[in-house]
Amino acid sequence: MIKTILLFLFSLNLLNAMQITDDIIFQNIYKQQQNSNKIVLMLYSAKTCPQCAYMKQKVFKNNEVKNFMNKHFILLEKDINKDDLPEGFDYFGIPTMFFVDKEGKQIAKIIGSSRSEAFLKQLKNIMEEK
Amino acid sequence: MKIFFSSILFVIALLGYEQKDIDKLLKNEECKSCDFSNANLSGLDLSTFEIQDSNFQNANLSNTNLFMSDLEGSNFTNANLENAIFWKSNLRFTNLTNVQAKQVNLKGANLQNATLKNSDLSSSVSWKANFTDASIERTNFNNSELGDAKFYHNNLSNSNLENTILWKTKFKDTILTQEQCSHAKNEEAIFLEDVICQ
Repeated sequence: MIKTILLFLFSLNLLNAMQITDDIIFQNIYKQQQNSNKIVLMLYSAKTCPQCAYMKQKVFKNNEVKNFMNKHFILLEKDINKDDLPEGFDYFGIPTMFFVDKEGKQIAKIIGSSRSEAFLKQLKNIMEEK
Repeated sequence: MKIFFSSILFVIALLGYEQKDIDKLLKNEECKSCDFSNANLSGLDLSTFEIQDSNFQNANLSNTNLFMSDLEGSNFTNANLENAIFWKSNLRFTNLTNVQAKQVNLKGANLQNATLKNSDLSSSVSWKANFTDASIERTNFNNSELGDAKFYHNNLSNSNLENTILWKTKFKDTILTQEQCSHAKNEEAIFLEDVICQ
């Protein structure tokens, strides 16, 4: 009996688990032809996190980073207090940046903040290993 | 026989710490004025423990979790603190002379009146850490994240601040080199008052 209940709860959980490809914003990104070769940079953050604010207000606004991101990535922001992570994505701390291809496959993950030069290097490595 | 007992005493002196102090710490989650010198506490979860005025000289605390622990007045001289977590912990009046603390997590830690001398804190994550009145000499912060941290009443001129994140870091009554000043300004640090760029 217990096994049956557990199995039922487990399958219910599986049914409820959202895939990244079910996300409407994610779907809309790849509906646009010009984004078809780009990678989604899903930033998982919170308003109260100073490291997240640093990445958004300083690093992402750095000219070199901005140009490289515009060319290869689409930013998708998720808030730790509002949004559940899709199935198969996990985090230890914020900010966490997930790099996702159009099939919804996570190809890389960056945890924490870094200065513009270091972050740009990480982005370039991701593009090279893609 | 004399040689035998002398050897035992020598080994005990080398060990430094007393096992009863470690047992007490793990059982009660507190141990004040205890001796952990030379002890291997690597990888333990000591979060929220109260370990004030204790001796951690030469101890191994690498990868140890000391989240929100109270360590006020403790002595960490020559200790290994690599990858340790001191997130929101109380490190006031601690002695961090000659510590090896690469990649240490000091987010929101209180280091008021701490002593950092010849310490290696490179690649540390120290957002919102409070270094007010800390005595800082020849300390290596290279590649560290010091955003939103407070440096009030410090002399950082002989320490290494290269490649550090200093975004919204507050400096007040602090001595910096010209190079450190221009790096801090580029990083959008906040100079409150009496910051000397020499």
